[in-house]
Amino acid sequence: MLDFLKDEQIDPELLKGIEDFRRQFPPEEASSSGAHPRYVYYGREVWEQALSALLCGENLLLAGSKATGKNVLAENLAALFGRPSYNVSFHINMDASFMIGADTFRDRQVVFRPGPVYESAARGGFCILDEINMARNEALAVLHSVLDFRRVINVPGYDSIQVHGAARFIATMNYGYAGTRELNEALASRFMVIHMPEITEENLVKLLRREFPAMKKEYTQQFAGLFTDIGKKCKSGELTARVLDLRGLLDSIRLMRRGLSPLLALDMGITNKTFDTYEQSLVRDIIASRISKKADRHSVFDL
Amino acid sequence: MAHSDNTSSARRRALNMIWTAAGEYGFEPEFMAFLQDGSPDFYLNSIIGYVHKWYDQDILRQLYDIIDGALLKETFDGLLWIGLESCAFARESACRPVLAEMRAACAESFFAQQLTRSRQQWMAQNSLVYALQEARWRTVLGRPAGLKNPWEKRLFQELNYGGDMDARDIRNRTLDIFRRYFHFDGVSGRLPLSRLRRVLGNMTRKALPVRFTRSEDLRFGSSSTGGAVTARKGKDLRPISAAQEERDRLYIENCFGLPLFDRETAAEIDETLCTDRHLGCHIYFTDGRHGAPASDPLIRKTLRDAEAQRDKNLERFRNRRRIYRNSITRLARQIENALLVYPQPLKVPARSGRLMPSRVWRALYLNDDRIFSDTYEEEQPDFSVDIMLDASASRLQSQETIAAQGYVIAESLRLCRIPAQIYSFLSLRGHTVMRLFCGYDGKEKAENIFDYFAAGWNRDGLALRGASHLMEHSPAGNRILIILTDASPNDDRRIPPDRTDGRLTGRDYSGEAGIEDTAAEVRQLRKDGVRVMAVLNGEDGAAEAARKIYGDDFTRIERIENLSDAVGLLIQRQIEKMQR
Ligand SMILES: Nc1ncnc2c1ncn2[C@@H]1O[C@H](COP(=O)(O)OP(=O)(O)O)[C@@H](O)[C@H]1O
Ligand SMILES: [Mg+2]
Repeated sequence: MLDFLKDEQIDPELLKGIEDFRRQFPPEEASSSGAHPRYVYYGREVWEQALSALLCGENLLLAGSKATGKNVLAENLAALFGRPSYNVSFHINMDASFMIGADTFRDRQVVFRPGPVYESAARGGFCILDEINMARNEALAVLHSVLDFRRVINVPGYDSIQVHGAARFIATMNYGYAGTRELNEALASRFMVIHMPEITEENLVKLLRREFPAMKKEYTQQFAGLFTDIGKKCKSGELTARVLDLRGLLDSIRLMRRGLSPLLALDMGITNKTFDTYEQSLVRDIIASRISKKADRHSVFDL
Repeated sequence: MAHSDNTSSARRRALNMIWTAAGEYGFEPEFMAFLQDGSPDFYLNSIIGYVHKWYDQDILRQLYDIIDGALLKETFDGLLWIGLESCAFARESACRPVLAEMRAACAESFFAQQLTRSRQQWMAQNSLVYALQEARWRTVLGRPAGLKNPWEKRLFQELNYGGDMDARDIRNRTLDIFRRYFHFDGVSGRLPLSRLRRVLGNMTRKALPVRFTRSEDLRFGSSSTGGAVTARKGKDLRPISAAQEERDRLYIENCFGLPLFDRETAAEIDETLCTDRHLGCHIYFTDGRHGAPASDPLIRKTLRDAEAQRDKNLERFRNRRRIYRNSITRLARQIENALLVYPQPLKVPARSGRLMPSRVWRALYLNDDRIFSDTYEEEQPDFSVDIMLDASASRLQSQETIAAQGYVIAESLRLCRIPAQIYSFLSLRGHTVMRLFCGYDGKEKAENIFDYFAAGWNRDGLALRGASHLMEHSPAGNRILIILTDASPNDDRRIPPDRTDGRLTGRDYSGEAGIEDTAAEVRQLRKDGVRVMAVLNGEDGAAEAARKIYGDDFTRIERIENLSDAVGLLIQRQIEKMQR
């Protein structure tokens, strides 16, 4: 992971900071120190912002539209700092007990079963508060003391515990589609916020190379260009963001590798994400200007 | 409503193709490209976008502006884009492998659509650009360019702009080409006027099937607000449109021949015939005699093409001379047989006798002093036949046959001593051109019909008014008019708004509106005592339109080879009717 960041030309000071951190808080299990995450996040500036914040002990809020690599970055950070990661997916029925923990029966006794927030606070883990804006404000109130300078968790009926020095909270937040909402101010003020940009064309090429080593070079270029084209169209308001979906593009390419025709695969992964036929025709026009109708798996991949 | 929705979404989609290719948004391109069905042309719009991406737009805009003020604007636009397509393709294809395939697909669709009607109209209207585009697409498909004329060949070579050129090179080379090939000086003193034209819009509202359209034309073409039409009536536009109209008239004169009538008479005829639904149009009568040869290369090309067509027409006839001779005798006999049961005194034009008021004009204009009638008590018909042949571009595929059939008809009628006029009609640049091949007196040789050639549109209603004018001089009491038609009136000049009719906006001269108009003219002619009939040769479904226009008085032929038979049949029917 560190080597990757060196390749990405991340500020050496920051890399040194990470090494210091890992010396101060040695990874618990040998395995997690050398963890190789499935994906790596590309984007030098975001890396530097995130590293600086975490090294300063801050919590992070990664805000951005879907598939901008928020979760990838959060997981990468946990791996990089050598900490175990705990994931909490927020939803409308989320309540405090789910985050912190609740009483439960074990061996015919009432015991406290810790939730992910409690666990990471206790063990110095990285807690990923995924889609934090999806929960109700009342449910979020318990997080206030965890996230601010107090760094304590109050468990009703039990002792309150101090948050471990290596523990960090990384929240993610989607915006850009219906059903998302703003995070309340009280909570937002407890995070350093990064607005996650869409991946750049250059970085997307890198991502594709890594993800699909067998893909032919000219196709890597065309798929990256395709994504940029769609991105520009969304930005200028000609398309809605529904079709700007990197996850969808990557999934489509996987289908191609399995043998599905590229155009059909892209239809499923991208075009059909909108249900407006006019929008679909715009997307198909973009695709047609990049990918040959005759292309098949063998034209895309060296297999 | 649905239509205008379609147009605006097609426009939006075209814009998006251009923006995608340019990688830039929000600018209004100077050009857009559409297919004949109105849908955006994918490859060419992409090319427009790549041109935006690769070349300095300020420099190119200078070039567009200069062209915009040129007389040959449409031709120059066409030629410029043949060049731009070449260099933009060269540049972009380096980083876009699929582009070659897109280009080939575009070329293939060009040839696939070659036989459609509107394509043929375009071909006829701007045959130089068409020929060069065809050459380009042929080479794209790996075939020889197929140009024969050395002038065109050289021009085509020079339009092969390379990927190494920059905007400045393009501008200079293009202007140089225009100068050398078209004597175009490149300075446009008329920029303000062209700006004005841009603002007021173009009366040619039906987007021509040109692949590249100046965006502003299209914008006006698709809006159905009456703005552009009323603006034309405004005083401001008068001087411009007068100049433009003079150019158009000269063009028509050079391509089709000197006018039959002097200026003043022609203006009078225009004033009486080009009213209400044909307001703003012109009618042009010619017998095909040409004046001094024009220097304009486009006109020269048209004339060359016309000559080549005449050769083809004659060749077809000569190759099947025997067959046609047989047809002539057969048709003549058929008419004569019918006439045997139709005894009527024949009025023969003579230099003395009873004055025939309807022939006085011939003394004035044609120096024909046979304006009196000699009465023979012979069993002869008192009717004349007018044959009006559709010569719009939809006939491009059957010109030779139509010419031969026309000849057969003319000859048989002559043998039967039936006064007959034969003329063709088409419409171009707002002028409905009536080309008179033979007149009632048989002074002209029937061979004239081999001059028949097709181009442009057909404004059937106005042509019928023209026919009515020509028939005023019929020596006979009964007038028969037979039209070769596809019952699909189409013109690029619209029908102006008619406030008395509650129509605040103009309509395209096509579809229902065209049919209605033609039907109204047919009714008027019948009211005036003309027996109007049609020989229908057109697409499936044309019968319904023909019925609306001509009632039962038409006969349908599948093959144009049956034209003379059909005419015989119709004349025979009329003779029987007159007898009753
Ligand atoms: N900047 C980026 N660097 C690397 N991968 C990215 C980036 N942006 C998006 N992705 C890819 O997009 C997909 C979705 O990423 P994810 O982190 O789940 O998105 P999010 O959590 O923002 O919705 C993953 O496959 C990820 O690899
Ligand atoms: Mg026609």
